[in-house]
Amino acid sequence: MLQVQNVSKVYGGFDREYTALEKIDLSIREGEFLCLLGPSGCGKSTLLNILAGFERPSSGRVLLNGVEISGPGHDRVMFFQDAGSALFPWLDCEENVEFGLRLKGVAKAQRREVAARYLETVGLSQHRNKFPSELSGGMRQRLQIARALAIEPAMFLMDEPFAALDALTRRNMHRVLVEIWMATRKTIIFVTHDISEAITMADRIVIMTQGPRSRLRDPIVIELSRPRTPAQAGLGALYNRIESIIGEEQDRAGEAAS
Amino acid sequence: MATVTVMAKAKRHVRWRAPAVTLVSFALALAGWQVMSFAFNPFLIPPPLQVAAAAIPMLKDGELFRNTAVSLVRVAVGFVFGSALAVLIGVPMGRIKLVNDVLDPIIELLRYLSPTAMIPIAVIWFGIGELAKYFLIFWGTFFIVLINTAAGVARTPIARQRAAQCLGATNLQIFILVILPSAIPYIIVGMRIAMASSFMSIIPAEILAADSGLGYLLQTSGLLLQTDRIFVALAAISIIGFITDRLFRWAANRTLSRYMERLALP
Repeated sequence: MLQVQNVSKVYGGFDREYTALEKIDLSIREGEFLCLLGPSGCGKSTLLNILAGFERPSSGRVLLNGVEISGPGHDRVMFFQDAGSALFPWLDCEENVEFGLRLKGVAKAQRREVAARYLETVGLSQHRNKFPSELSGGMRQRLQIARALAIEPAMFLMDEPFAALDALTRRNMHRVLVEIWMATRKTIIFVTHDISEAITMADRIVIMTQGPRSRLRDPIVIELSRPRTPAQAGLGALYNRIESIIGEEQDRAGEAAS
Repeated sequence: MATVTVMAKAKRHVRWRAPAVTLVSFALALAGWQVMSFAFNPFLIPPPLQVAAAAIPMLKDGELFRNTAVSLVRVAVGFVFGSALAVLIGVPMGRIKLVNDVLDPIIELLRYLSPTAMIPIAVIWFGIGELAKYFLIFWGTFFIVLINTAAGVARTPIARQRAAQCLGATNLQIFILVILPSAIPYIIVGMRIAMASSFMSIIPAEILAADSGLGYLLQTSGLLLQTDRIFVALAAISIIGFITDRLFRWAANRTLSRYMERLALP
């Protein structure tokens, strides 16, 4: 569904060039839950921005169903880590969710009904007239999800959306997200630096190497059933495997630096 | 049971505590004032009752009311024009880099000219009529609201603009539905600060070049060494400034409260 072909991203010019990404090739299937896993500064956000259409690759291209993407669109919705910045603080929950529908010109009654449905899905029904400032961090992220669901995009692009939440809320959000995914089968590309987060949710994990000049390692397919609990068989071994790959990459980066 | 009673007592206690503290503070201030009058010189510092006594004829014959109204109108006109033009210019400044780069150097120089500094040239350009006063208040208001507006527009989180893009908004829609609402709290704050500045600007203008207004009242009372009337004028300025600010805040809250929603950090 989404083809990333030979994408590179270089910032700056003259003698201050910084190659964030180098020759990235990736194929993403429709309906899969893919995690991009990597340390800070490895360019995962850059890649996600390119997939979202906020930035253009310096070379290479990204094809969505065979057509090259040229900018942001409502078929690929981006989720931001700081929900407080991304939400509209002057609109209450209901109005935030309705925003995309208002832009499309959907009638009020229908907007309200769709918004109510998605607020229900994320469990925010009784808060529908509250403002984002009255919600906790986890609730705001759920509101962001509801707002995106309302326009029914094909793809979610999530940039470490739960990183700012406390551990308990984060685990809850994993559950909520996986439930939504299993019900709607949207394509999700989820960026994180947290191995256990990736293992809990993903079909495939693609490890990104340390920047500059980040590359992708071969994808790791996960065939464990969901929902996945920490004590599940195979999970521990998988964690160790991924951790050793990341350790390898960090050693390599350390050698390259010295 | 005992803990519940204690907490109930504490709550009752707290409710009337704040206004009581304010009243006590004012009472103490008045008492302190009275003491200062007699400790120093009742001519230099007229005691509160004498000031009140001087105020009564001024209120009765409308002198205080007339001068206050004149000053208020001058502030209102200058403030409205200054704010309107500042928002009109500030919004493009915050949004379009070229506009900002062109205008910013000029503004950075001009904004150090206080309204008082502009009095001589204002009188030469506009005479000693109302227009000069409007211009001075305009000048005092404009730069403050301009800078706050431009900052507010520029500070719209990029995440919010991008989120709107993903939801299908065109650039124009992002501007009207995302950037302008995000800037409103900053514009309002700028206007509040500018209003205080406006009140402070009108006084020198009325002292130096006017025949009406609270500043004029200050000036004439000063020439005649009528310290009690000076104090009446000073009190009037303080009270009017305080009331106008409260009214502005109330009006902003009534109409724009949803735009003033601050995001609590998680």
